Amino acid sequence: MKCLLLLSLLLATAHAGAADSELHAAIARDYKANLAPLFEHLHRNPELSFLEVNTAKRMAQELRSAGFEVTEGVGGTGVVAILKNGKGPTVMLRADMDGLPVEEKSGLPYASKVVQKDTVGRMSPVAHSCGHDVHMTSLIGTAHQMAARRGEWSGTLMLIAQPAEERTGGALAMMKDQLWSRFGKPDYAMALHVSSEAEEGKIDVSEAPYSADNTL
Amino acid sequence: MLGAQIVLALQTIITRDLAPREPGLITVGSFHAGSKSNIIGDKAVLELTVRTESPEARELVLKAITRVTLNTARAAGVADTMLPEIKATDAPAPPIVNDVALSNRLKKVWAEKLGPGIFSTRYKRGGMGAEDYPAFVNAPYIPSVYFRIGGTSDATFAAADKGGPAIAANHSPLFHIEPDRTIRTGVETSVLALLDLLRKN
Repeated sequence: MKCLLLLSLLLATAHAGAADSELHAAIARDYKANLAPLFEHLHRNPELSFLEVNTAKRMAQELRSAGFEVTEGVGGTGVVAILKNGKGPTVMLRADMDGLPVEEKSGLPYASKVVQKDTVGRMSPVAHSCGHDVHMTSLIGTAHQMAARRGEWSGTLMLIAQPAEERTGGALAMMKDQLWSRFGKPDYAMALHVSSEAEEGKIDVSEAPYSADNTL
Repeated sequence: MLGAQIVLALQTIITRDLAPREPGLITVGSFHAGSKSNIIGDKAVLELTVRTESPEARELVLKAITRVTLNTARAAGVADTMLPEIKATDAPAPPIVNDVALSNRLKKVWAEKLGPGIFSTRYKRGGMGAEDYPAFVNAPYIPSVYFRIGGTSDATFAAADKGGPAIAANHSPLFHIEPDRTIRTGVETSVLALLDLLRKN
């Protein structure tokens, strides 16, 4: 029994390894060449909710370079990037762009020293203390791989960089800006979020990851 | 004085009004009142964040906030014409509920392609963070999966386990993650999921 289990485990691992070592290697190359410097740039240059002007510009530029059809200024600073690749479903993947009004004390060499005027005119320190720079960089890395592998899939890929997730208004602003009627309604949607409470290299998928929020 | 009493009284909504096993949270994140030590202020502004996980709990808590605020004021002798004003500010966000079928499908893809070790064993959802992502997928309904990716190194966890510095949570000024493996995992899991959902027939 133990022998059979071990054998099938080895076979499964070997199969998985072979199928994805190419993808894994391609991502590692892209990280070294493009994603690492992009992440550092985004980390050093956070912008507050609804004020992500330069971040949006950079995201649009990266997505255009990746071969996507890009529309800027959706719901304020939101960016929508589309890659049409034949018949099939439309799948949406979202990243968020805003930083927090927090003074970074991480001690990192590339820590943010940014101070920005907020939406009510106060000067505020800004930092990506919620990891939105990770999400944005991951979105670009995903764009690169999907564009490079057009032969392996069919359908439409929609990548969204939204404003103001922290102020719970950016997604709504994009929806109010006729998001689906302008770009098509996705059949599936995904989003990821980094957590310092989980191990690097691992993921968590639960049924109900987030609570409802009301601000008074 | 009244403001301080209201801040404390609001917490009893969570401890005494809500069912004990129904999650709920009220944070008075900001409290501004007064200008000088010897001037009794006549105004206080409190900013609240409320978190709940069911429509019934949300309704109960929001109604209770109004009841507690107005009646604590009345108990202090505030006239009906000068009662506290309560208003909603940032757009409310509904809870995120992953589509079960899609969730199972993607978990299977990730387990097959990356091995069952891809799933975190440390992560325990202890907080009540909120997100505005549901605005994209709630109405009209779009099957969706929202997942977390880990960002803290084993070494940092080991140090914390031994009594070293606690892991800085998201939103802390001390927050930091290891970008290399974290971002590469973000890309790999996203691409594998997308290649499955957009697979050629």
